Amino acid sequence: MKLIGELLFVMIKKILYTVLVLSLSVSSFAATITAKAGGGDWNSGATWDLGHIPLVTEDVVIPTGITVFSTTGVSIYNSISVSGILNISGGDFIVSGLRTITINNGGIINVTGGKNLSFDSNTAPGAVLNVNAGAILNISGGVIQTNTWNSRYIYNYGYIEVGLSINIDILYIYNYNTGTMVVHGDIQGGGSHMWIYNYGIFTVDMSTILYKTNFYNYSTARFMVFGDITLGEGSTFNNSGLVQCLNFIALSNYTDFFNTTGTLIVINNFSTAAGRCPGYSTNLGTFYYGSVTSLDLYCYNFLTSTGKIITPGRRIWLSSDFIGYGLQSDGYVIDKWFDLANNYGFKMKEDTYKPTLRNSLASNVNFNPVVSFSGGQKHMDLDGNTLFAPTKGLAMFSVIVPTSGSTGKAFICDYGLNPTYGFGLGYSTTNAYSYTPTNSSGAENQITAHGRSTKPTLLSHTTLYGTALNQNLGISDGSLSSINTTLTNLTTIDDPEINNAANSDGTNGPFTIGAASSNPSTDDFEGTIAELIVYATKVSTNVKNATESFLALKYGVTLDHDYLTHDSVIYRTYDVTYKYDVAGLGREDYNFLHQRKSKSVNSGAELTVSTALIDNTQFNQKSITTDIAKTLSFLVWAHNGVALNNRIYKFSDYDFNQDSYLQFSIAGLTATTKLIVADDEAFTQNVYTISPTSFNDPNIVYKLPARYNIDITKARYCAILTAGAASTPGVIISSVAPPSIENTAELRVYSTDKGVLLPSIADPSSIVANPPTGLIFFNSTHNRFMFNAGTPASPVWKFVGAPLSQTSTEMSASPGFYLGEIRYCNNCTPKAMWLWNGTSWKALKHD
Amino acid sequence: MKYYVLYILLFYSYSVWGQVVIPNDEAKIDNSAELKIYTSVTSSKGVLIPQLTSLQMLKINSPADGLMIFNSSDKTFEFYNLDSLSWDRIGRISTYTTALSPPLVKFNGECYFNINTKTLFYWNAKTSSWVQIPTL
Repeated sequence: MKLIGELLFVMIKKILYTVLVLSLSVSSFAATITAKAGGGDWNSGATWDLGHIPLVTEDVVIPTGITVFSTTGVSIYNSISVSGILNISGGDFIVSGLRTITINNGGIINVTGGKNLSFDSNTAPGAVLNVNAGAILNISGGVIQTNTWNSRYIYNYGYIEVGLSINIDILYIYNYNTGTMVVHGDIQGGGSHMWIYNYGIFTVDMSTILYKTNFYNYSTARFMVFGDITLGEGSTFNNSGLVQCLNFIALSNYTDFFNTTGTLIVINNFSTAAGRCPGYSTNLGTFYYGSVTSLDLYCYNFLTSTGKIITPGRRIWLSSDFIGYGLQSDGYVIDKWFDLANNYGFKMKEDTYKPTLRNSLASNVNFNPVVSFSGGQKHMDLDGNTLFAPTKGLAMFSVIVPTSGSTGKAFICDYGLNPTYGFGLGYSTTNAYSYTPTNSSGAENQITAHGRSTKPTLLSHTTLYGTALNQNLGISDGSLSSINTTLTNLTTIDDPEINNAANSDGTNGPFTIGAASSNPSTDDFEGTIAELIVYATKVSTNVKNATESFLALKYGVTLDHDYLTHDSVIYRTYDVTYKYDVAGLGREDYNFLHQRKSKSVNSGAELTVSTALIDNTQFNQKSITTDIAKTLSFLVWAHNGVALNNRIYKFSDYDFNQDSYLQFSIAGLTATTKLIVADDEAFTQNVYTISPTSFNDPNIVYKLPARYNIDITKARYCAILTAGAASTPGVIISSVAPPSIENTAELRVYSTDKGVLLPSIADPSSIVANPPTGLIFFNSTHNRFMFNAGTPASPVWKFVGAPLSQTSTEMSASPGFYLGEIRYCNNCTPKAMWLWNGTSWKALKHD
Repeated sequence: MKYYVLYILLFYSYSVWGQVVIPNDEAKIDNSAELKIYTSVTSSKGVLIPQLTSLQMLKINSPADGLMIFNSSDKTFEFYNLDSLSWDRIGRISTYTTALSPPLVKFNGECYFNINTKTLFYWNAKTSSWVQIPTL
């Protein structure tokens, strides 16, 4: 289906091109009318350079820096190109005739007052709306609609927000990689359908119905619905990217459902009408669900056995790299922070308390943006919504960058009145802490923390109710520590334990982020919050470790346990030797994780790895265009903690079938410094050296080629071949002055007419006990050099240069050390000499 | 003689010696040997040359031509080949191309590997020719 979609795309482009040429040839007769400096009312001749209100035959231009408004709507008959601002109210923005609307980089069209963007009955086939990168079209309270059927196109590379729904007959919407579309309503094609091709971010912040709509969500795309998706009449859902919604309802009269190479996350319930099974054979792809409803037992069994159940579900999930609206500009003041767990929208009432998105080289954490709560008691809340943890337990995880603040308590999140009521997670200048209600047998855990650093920190809190009463707070910020408390009688956190009415101050919502809910003026958190995840239930050790793994990989934090996916698949086993500065690349669609570039946030970490050539000016993942090809693939690295010139790095790759680029920032290297890579840390198996791709002191970059079909038991080891300092020469033995001093030799014997004699021994059995490995002598019986290839305890005397004798298993596991190597295979058929020809072992002919 | 070496290392310099015999005994000097190391017949000893891991070996800064070490990772003697800029195992079979044929200094049983044809040859002095050893 994707292929068909693309073919269609090409066809449409061709048609479009023809139409555009036609349009240009028609338009070339039209005059251009341009808004004058200072702008003004659309309906005033004084606003325009030609001295009259734009005519239907004219091409309208609103240049950069100029604002034009209309309080009676605007009709476009010819074309309009907006680089400045066009504010439309009091009437619709009507596209009439065969026309082209272009909003250029920096340009904005606002349609307010509940008015709409309408393609009216005079719109000829091929009318085009281009929203270029950096452009904004905001229809704040209206719809995009058509009055009659005809082909119209919207090409979005920028940002389009639609206040209500899209009601269109024959419309093609292309939302490209850089594009974001936010719709607050349904997506409805008319009698002749609508096609949406999404390569970027398409967000609906409420429940939506797809009606007579073919929705193609490509591999780079996210279709985020903060509510339900109803797959309705005549609609096709074709996902090869990422889709998340609360409930997914497939009606009986939908047309098609394909999720073949996509990931579909249905947080609550996936339901399908009688007689319809959206998933069959291989087209279900990666499917996560809370529950499944189907009258058809076969379909129910198929969906539940092929998909993966979400347990437990996240109650809150706030991530700085997905505020919701796709705007990633540094300094963006956050009006609403979408909860990826799909339960809440976090909204602020007063501008002064709104936190700010930070997306810059200086503030980002491991190439991901953060949200700043610094200064002025910044905080946000759940409005009047509550967040209880009535059964089993509670878990909270957060990645923060603390800066400064009060020496008292500073809350990352808080609910109730600490510590008597409620629960929370905090980080002050003195302590990291978490609490559950102490007057209901909860406890407060504290770890002395702030003195450690102000670097990115992963906090992790878990509480278990019931028989295994237990509460744990852990902190990872380069060093790791945790504190465990045994609880006595905590069985729930509900209304009485929170005591919301008594302890909320009435103006701030009961659940607060960035400050105490009861006292936001003094207990506010200073610093940035990158991510916050709350499970309002207990989590298993696997879920705890998986959540920590996800956050650690994303933010470059080093953990002291295995790294595993949400599905409990271990992709990096903890290694007691290689445990320093752990970081990784990885993709896990369930967590929206797509880490294309990483560097440990630990101070002194020198290695950056990316899927693409490393550009040190890039500070956001999303600007790296080389994707990780498949979900559930990871490349994680760490080093052994020794000094830089002897440091060995271990790369564990889990199904990571693509190239990566390694940048080491180490002073003193040269443009010829090589990287050595091998399967083992002794650098004997599959050894090869890599020359740098680029060198710009102190940054040196190597390309690490993909190795296919590797599993977790295998790892690669890398080391930089920093040439040792020139050594002090050792001993020179010579009858004449040697021409040079060889610094690399401990012993140099120089002569032009003499040789060297080593001990001549007739029988190795005369050698004293426990000869070391590598001891060499001249065997005078056989007139050959011999050495101990075994150990001191059990010597194995071999002739220097003798072929190896190996089993077939050993031989198949080890390619030849050099072209033309000969080995004896001692259990092969035939038992023969075998030749390494560069690609395989070949048995040599024998009698 | 061991003490001489110790002395040299202590003073962190190098020294030049001519026609050395180890253990020191001038009577054992052999005119053709710049360095001679001998050992007793009944309680024999060998020689240890520097033992380096593969990584340590590769980290040697601009190795001299013919520099020899014992590779403790692979348990093999290797020497640095300044022509190919690589570490080669002592005793390895030479490689040649069809265009660049093996040298004329040959002895019975000498082998070489032809990179182009990926085949092995040995020198047959009787017929005075390189003979291919076929694979099965």
